[in-house]
Amino acid sequence: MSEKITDIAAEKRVQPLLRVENLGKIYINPTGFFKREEVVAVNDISFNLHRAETLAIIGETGSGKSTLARLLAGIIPPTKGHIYIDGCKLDDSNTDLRCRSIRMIFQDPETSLNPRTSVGQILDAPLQLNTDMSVNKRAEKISETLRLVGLLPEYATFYPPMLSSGQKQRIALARALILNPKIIIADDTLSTLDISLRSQMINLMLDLQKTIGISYIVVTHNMGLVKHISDKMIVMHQGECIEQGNTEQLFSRPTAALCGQILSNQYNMKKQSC
Amino acid sequence: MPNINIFADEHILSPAEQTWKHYSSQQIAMAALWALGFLCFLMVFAPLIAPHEPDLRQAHLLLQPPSWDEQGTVDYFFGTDDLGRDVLSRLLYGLRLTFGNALLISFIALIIGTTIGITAAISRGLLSSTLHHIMDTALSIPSLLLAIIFISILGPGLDHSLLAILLASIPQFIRGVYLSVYQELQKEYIIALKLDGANNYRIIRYGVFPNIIETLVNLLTRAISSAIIDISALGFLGLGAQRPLSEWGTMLSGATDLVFIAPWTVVLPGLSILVTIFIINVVGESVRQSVIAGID
Amino acid sequence: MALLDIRNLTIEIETPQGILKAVDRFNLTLSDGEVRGLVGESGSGKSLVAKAIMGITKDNWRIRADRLRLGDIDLLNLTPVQRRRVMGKEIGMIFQDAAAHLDPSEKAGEQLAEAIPCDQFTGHFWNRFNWRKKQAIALLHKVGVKDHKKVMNSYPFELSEGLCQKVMIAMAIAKKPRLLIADEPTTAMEPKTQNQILRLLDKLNKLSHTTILLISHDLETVSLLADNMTVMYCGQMVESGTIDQVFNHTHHPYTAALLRANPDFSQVPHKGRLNTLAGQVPLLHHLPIGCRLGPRCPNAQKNCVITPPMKKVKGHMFSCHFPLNADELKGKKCQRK
Repeated sequence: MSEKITDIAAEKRVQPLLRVENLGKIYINPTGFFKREEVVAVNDISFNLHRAETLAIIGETGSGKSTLARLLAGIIPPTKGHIYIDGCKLDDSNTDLRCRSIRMIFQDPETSLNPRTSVGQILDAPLQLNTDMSVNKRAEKISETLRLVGLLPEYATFYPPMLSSGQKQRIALARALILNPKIIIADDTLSTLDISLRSQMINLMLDLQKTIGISYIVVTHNMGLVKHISDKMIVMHQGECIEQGNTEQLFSRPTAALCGQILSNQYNMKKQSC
Repeated sequence: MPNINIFADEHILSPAEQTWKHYSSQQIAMAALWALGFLCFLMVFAPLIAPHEPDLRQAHLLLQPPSWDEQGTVDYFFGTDDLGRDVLSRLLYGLRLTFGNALLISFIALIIGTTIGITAAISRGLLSSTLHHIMDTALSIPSLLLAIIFISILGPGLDHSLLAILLASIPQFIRGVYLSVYQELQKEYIIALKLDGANNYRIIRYGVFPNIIETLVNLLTRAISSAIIDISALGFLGLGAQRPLSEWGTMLSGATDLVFIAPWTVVLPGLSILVTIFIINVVGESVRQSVIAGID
Repeated sequence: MALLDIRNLTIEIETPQGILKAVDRFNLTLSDGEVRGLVGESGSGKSLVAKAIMGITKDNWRIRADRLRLGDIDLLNLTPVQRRRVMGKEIGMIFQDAAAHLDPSEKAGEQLAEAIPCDQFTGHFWNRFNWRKKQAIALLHKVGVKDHKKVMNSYPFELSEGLCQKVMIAMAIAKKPRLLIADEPTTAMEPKTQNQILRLLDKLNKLSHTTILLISHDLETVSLLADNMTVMYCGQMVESGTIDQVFNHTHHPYTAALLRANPDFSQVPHKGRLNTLAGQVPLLHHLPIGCRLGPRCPNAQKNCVITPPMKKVKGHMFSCHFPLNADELKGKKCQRK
């Protein structure tokens, strides 16, 4: 028994699922005729993520957490640094590996689904582009994924304007899940939902983590949520990572003073109000 | 568990079907659509329907009043002009020249302008910048003036005027399509499609195109109206269709000195232009509203 | 006399799929100086009610009500011109995404100055010079903005969401309305900003005696501020009463589920399941007959296919055939509505 545990620990030490080294993004804004201004959005972020782990990225607005999420998803190219999945470096040559391993859910469900395409078409697109399944197999996979997120397979013929925002968010989750990814990035997805929908989505995401072993990278400012679902945490401030590590440790004993301030600001504020 | 489809009796309408359902529920729009169909029918079958030849001059029938006047006859339903030519036949052949050519030019401009607009929206850097500046220059000159400049280089004539108007309408399409596509490309569902691994063609065809149809309808409606007016205006000025072609503008210019003696030779071509543009605008605006009806 | 009196408000929407009843026989009474919370999930129709009161409706909506009165003004029978007058002067409204509801091409100071009505000017004619600007600065101070110069000279996209919301509140109270409708003003905001805005609304209510209708999906936020609460589900009002009655003597299962669903993360184990009500809000096209909570309700029985009537006990209204805490109801006089 103890051998098994050490094996797993050894495996974890050897091969993290996601390894990020010195990731950085600098925006160059021309100000004036020949002058250029460099804005550092994200600077020198490094972390590891293992299977079935959840990483939370927190910080105030403007701290660069959305930029970091987009860098990881591949929406914007990094200025420096590397990302490794299962030891394999991600660059322009293997974008399909990235598509299949890391998927993203956006914040606003109203604008992240194309209102003129049916749900079936939205879910079919990633399958068509990344796998060579036949039409029947794709339809089966779509039904299976819809059932997995708690929707009836008949919803494949519906159009997004007919659905409520909770259902839209589930479709966004289905779109992320349909390629069996290893990592799902949730960019502040739960803040626009109501409490009960939020709880349902959290339950769903945790169930999926238990059964399929997906890792999550969650960007949020809800501290209670962070404490509940995440194993590791990165605290960002003005593009720099001022603190990272195990969630429990950081909540009880934050080392950097600024980090402690941010945590208590956001967590305890509600209790002190009114 | 057996797969019971609880929505079996419900037919979900596709966006095209929804548009048609919304459009057909409005009476004015349907009436305008029927009128447009009638115009197209007349345009296609003009040689078969016209009672006389448009160029047939009959010296003994000069300036016959229309049939509703006491001196008019049914044979010459809209009367005759100062050279004895039947006005109705000339109007029908003129429908082909003015309306038909306007439709042709607008559709060609649509295709060329949309292609260039989409290319401009996807491109970045030097190409995008160049196209932008060329378009901005071309757009700063009104289309009629631009057409006149082209004609002054190429010389008068119907073909030259059509070419000039075509070149003058393309920048409107490019600009409108570029803005629309550029806005669409910023939207999150297009980013999601890019993350799915779609190439540019797929993104434009399946992601962007269904959402810019409203813009295209709007641009096309305006282009057709504008083309009708420009063709007539050039014909009126003598720079477009030359006599004896029965283009409506040319008919108007030939009849200006007859406005008190034989008002029907001036009023009828003018009314035809007005009615055609009105029908086009009603149909175009209703289609545009029906297209965005389901999404709101 | 009640400030706002709504009786049996029904809103129907025409869609390509047919006519859907989005809000069904909704009742609300607001007295002067009260803060009432209107709570419901997204899709429950609470924003529709707010827009119907305000008068900003779309063409494909059909609004019917037995009574829709603001003080002594009957809102249903006004001409469009009269409606517009009431809209700005008597009722103010603030929305969820503040930055999107401000004109992006005008500076915040100019928009705020525009919102101040002419007839508020008192004084001599030589004081007219720049009075709007001074009034705008006074309003900004009232809503808690200290650095007024920066805010006045910035465009909306340059301001943070908290500042934008404060500017919007300042614009809403510029006309000194009797009623302020706040449609989810603090959703998706950071907790620090949320608290600032809620404290500001509280201050407005206490100092200027403005009645506030606070619409939200978050029971906790509403309970911090409101005196009374109405809970909506699927276009129907399910429970209404004072905060104490609704929280501590809940009668409707939906309210109980909402209270339970608020996760208290300190008590749930790490990565454990959270308490939720099973199922989802039904689509408007497929509403269940009778009590709309029927398919999801843990206490549902055969009788629930009949729409439950609204019952009123000492100001606490609820509509359920089998209410919770029923023993409190025994022996109390029950009014049927």
